[in-house]
Amino acid sequence: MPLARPFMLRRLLFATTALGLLFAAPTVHAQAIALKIAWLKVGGADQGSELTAWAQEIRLRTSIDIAPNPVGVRPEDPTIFQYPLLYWGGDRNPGKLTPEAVVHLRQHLSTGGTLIIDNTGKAEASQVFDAGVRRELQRIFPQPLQRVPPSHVVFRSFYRLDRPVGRRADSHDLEGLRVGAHFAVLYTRNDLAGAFARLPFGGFALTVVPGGENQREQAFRLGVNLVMYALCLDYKDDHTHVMQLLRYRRGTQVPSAHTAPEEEEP
Amino acid sequence: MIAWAGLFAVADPTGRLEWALRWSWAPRLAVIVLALGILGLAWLNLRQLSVPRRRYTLLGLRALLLVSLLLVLLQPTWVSQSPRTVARRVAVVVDRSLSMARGANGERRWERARVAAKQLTTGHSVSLFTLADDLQPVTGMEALARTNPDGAATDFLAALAELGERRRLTDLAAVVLISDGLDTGRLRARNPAVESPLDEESNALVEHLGVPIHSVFVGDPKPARDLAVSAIRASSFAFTRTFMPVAVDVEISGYAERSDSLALVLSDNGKPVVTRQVPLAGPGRRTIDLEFQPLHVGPHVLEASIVPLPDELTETNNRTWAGLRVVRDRVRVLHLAGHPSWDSRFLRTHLRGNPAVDLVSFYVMVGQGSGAYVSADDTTLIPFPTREIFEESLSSFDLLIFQDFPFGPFQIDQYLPQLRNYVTGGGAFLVLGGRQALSGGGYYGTGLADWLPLRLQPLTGDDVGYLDGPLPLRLTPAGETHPVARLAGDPEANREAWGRNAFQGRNTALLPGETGLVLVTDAAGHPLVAVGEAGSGRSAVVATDSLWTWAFPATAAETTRDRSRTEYHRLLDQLMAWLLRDPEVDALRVDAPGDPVPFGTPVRLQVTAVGAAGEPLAGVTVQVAVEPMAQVPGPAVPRQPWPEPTDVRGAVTLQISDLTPGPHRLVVEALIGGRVEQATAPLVVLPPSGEASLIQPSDALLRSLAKASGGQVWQARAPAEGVPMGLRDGLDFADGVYTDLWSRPEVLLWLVALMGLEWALRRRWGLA
Repeated sequence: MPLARPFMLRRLLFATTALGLLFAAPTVHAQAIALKIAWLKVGGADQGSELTAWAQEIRLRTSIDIAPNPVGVRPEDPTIFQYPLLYWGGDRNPGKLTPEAVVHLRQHLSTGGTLIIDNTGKAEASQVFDAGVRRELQRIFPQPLQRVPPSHVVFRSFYRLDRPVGRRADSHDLEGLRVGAHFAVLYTRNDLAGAFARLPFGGFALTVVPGGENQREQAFRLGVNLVMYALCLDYKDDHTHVMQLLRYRRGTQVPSAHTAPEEEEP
Repeated sequence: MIAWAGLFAVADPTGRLEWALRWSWAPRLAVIVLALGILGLAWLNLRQLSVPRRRYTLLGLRALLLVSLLLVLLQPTWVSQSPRTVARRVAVVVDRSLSMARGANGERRWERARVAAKQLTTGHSVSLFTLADDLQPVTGMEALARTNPDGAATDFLAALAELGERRRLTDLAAVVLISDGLDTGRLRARNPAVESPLDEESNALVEHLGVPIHSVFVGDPKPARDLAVSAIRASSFAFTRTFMPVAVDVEISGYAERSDSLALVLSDNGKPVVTRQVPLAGPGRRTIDLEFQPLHVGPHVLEASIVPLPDELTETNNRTWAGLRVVRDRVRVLHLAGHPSWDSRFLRTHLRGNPAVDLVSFYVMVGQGSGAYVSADDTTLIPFPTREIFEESLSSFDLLIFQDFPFGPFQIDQYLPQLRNYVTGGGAFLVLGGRQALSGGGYYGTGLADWLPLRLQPLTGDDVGYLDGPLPLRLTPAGETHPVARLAGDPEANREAWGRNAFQGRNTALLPGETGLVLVTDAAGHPLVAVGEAGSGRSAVVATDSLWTWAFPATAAETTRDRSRTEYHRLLDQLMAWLLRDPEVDALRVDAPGDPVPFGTPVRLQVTAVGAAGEPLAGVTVQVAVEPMAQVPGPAVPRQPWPEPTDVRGAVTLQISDLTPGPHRLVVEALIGGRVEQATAPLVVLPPSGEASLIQPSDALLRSLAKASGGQVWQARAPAEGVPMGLRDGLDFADGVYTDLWSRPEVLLWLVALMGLEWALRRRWGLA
């Protein structure tokens, strides 16, 4: 396999760098300041280990100051507001959110928070999770989930991506829920966290199908892009216009209409 | 009367009879009815006479008397219109404006104008006048010799109009202007290009005058040596940080043989902003196109000046001024973030949510060592455009934000001169903290630190430049009255607002700067929010990367969340407004006239004082001073308290008189909230006229007047040879001579005789 050798090297590099980061006086901020992924304790699943690997990849690849250990929070707990980035993964029926949880999530997402939903069904996307999530989202916001178009900035926020894959790749679309002008909720049905899951000594815990390690890399890239989108919104749309804007300011050229989709808070 | 009318008609066949009292048909009818009524009554009265001859005699007498009275009432007048001969004269008008005192080779134009006037008047009967801003009659050559050419203006049109009013047009045969052709009045104002033909109104005046307007042009034997900046042509309205064209009209004469050049300097509020070398050789009149970028909102004074030469005619015309009012269309913000973070995310959301903000962001998206995992081919990363930003585009931004942005990795030290020029030259610079900011970001000992309101210290021991942990906030005394720190209007509520908020970490190794103001500290007095002046610019530091926790507070209480979010946006808005010198955040404001003020006109300005919550402050005494701007001599108005304090609207109107021509800076100070607040505004007073700036004689206008009126233009050398100075007999139309026919004594005698005869016959024939 022509790709095997580079990925073996990469794993070794990852392991040594990760160990170095863990033991060499980390520069991680206090919990409230550094980015920390908080997974929602809904439906009994515990994604702590997968998200740790996700956070470590983000630290390795980007300049984002991210805390290494994600934390679990219950949506009805006010501590949810300490974490603007939430993750909700599962493959079982999430059950019914409490009214307090619905209010908290609505407040959270309406004021700048982001929720990434991950369907972690093993062989395929879990239908009960999917139905439960859609049902509960309807209680939080009236608008339905919608397909995120491939031209959206989330597919360019760091890496150039063609499609959203995870441990599986059977769902071709990323879905999202707009709050104001940006997607406050992003939903992948391809078990994104499953592609990140690691064994205690560095190996990956789950096989990625059907694309193997190449697909796993694409999953990591999607993971980076999702977090980058939560932090930068439409920043990469700006870049298509930056040079034109700079030229405009030097002279009297009238800028063309702003073609980037607006991404603003409500 | 009828007889006399007949006599007049015989003696004066061209005359005519007019009735002075011109009634309409209704009174005429009433009079006729009345007269017939009177005659009817008379007939009844006379019926008692038995002799018919007597009856008819008395009736005839009464009818005659009645007709005579009616004729007197109608006031018949004889109008005689015999022609007569009127002598017509030539008006000689000598220009006595200031420009006539100039000349070449030590010979004043005025002396040559007097010689020409003497030639014209000798042996001729003329009316002599002098011309400046008005027309003055002169009794003769002796009086002209005593006149000084010191008029502040030259207004040909006003003089011609006045000439037409002073003398009956029928008396005027021609006008001869003796002048250097330099008009500063309405004619020049309406015809800025002196070569252009007269406009419609000027032509109408010439036509109304109806006589030829000749001219004797008093030019110079050779061009006078002089440099003049005659005008600044630019819009009176501009946007901040947007380049605007400025055209400067320069007139250079007498230096054609020189091959060197001189510096033309354009200054903004006394500060040179553009310099252009102008070659001395070349066309005498030329326009220099410049480009200028105003930096601040408000009134500006533009000055264009050219370096004087020692042998030029006058230096008074080497500079000129124009007013400019600058507004902000959009706030252009350059946001450089050291890494994506919640702090940068919520700041970006805040800025993008403001429709008046034009935002350009750059994020550093990969960290050190990330290159092993990130290929540029797979990402949308672009090289950080350091050169484009700091060398080419920086000056076009209103506000520069460094958000947790490190000093080292992007070779900022190479661009420190540009950054210093930007900040100290009027820019706005906001530093938001974090581990890569300030001392922790490698800024200690760099020039950048000199423009910040805080002093950076070197890191010692385990200090990494940042300390995590919740920090209660305290307003300093300066912060209590500063507009940036105004989270609530009421001072107590403001203290409470800061007290209930917190930061979640702070930059260390910071001390208050010498000129900056620390507005907010933690409980231990470490500076957290500070602002300061940096040359003409302003800078501010918020020494934390946790400000976003105000925008996304860690509480579920909706009212607390809303209040915290409001305070987040308010603090950022006020920081921006103060950094950008938005007048709305100043405690003391001056509304000055944006346009230049005519010389001698008092300047009226309104000063407004507002408190910490924006409320008007009554009873505030302001100190007022007027300083001349650089390079322009003139007495300053010394600092003194204005006699009236501010009124209930917080306003007081200043009226300042006797300002010398040129640009000035008004400085107003007042003690507000325990601190001396200052506001300044530029003023420009125009010179008395443009006479000083017009140097080279030009016969263009004189030729235009001559062409429009059928006149001619002669050179001053031998004017009398060509100008038709002889008297001309009038082709006259004498006015009518009115002779009253009804008010003569003979008419009175006639009436008395009629009444006496009627009375005598009536008594004789036995009537009462």
